[in-house]
Amino acid sequence: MSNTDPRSDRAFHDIRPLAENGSTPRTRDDGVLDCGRSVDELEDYLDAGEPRDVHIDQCPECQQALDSLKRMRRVTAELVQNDADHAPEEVVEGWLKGLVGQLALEVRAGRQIPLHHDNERARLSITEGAVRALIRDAGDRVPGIVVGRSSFEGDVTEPGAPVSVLVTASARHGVNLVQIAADLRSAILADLARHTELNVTAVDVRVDDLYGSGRPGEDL
Amino acid sequence: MRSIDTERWMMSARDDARVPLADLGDRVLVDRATDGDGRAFEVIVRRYGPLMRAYAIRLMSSTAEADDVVQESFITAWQQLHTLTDGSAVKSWLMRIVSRKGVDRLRSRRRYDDIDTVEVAAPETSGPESSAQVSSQMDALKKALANLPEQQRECWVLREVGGLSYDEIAEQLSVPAPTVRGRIARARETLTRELEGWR
Repeated sequence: MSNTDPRSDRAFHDIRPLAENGSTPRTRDDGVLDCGRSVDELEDYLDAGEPRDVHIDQCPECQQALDSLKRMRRVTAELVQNDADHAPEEVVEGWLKGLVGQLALEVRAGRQIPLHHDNERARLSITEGAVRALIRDAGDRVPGIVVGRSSFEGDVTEPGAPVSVLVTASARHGVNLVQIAADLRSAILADLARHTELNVTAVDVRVDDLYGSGRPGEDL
Repeated sequence: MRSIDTERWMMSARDDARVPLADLGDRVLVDRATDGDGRAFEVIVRRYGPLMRAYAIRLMSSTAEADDVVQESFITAWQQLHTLTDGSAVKSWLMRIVSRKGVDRLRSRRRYDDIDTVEVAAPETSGPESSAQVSSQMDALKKALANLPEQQRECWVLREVGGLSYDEIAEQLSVPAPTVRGRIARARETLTRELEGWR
């Protein structure tokens, strides 16, 4: 079976000019050098950090092709970085503005958590999403730790039912994790008691991330 | 709760006092955004939007379309954040969304072109001003990319900038993997040749 799809833009390939100075590594249709190595293999070799390879190390053709590939990668990275660095501020603000409306449409409300009201006929509730926001805000008051996600175990829609809360958190590099987790737990318990009627039996804090030790956005 | 959450989002620009969200790692930001925190999502938009745009510009060969593709990608990302199990992989996840959106757009642009035989919008780099000012390898690459046949450029950018494998590209484009391989090989050869002059 042929390696070339008849629908591909083969015609373009066939009219390519020949390299006149001979400095461009020539490859056949399938990207194989005259020495038998394919450009794909050389890409893999680069990705692997150029491990020892008896053939590649002494093949002038491979070396030439590698130089080209490296230069292409370097220039491509430079071009992309340059474009990224020059993204106009108003474009970024435009994305954010467009997202505000979307956010309003897509609020993660979750379940309705009932609240007691003196008037028997009034039905009052707070959404799970709002309680999560409460928990995040409680965490924001504790310096050195930031709440990620929170989830509830137990039937939050049933008044008085026991509910345990699990939160993930990111702690600042170097803080005492035991102490700060305890502080966060108290802050969350206090706020949930003040603003909801949930019967919270436990708040479990799982610190699964650290911040402040490297560049922002770097995986820790 | 809609109004409260929306306000929370709107306040974000002024709200710089408490938690330095911009200092946080991707995972906790994704966790917060998944739980509905618009401020955390805003940090993600600022952190990766420019890179996504740079990718889309090369893929679409059009700045205006790139901006639209990124906007659409963020809307999809916000809706599907809960499907992302490892928040620290958000960057490549976002780039993949850009790949999909960009390919869809190129495809519908081609379909439209077939019907109406309308010329594809001239690439930004083909203007007389920029072509006269090509002064570096970077500019040479930019120009050479813009002049590539669209299907070759698409495959090359998906691979070299988007980091997709041949099989992933083949799946995205609904063409056989060897076709993708061939297009990339030809694109690479043309680009290499164009760069030679700037060694």
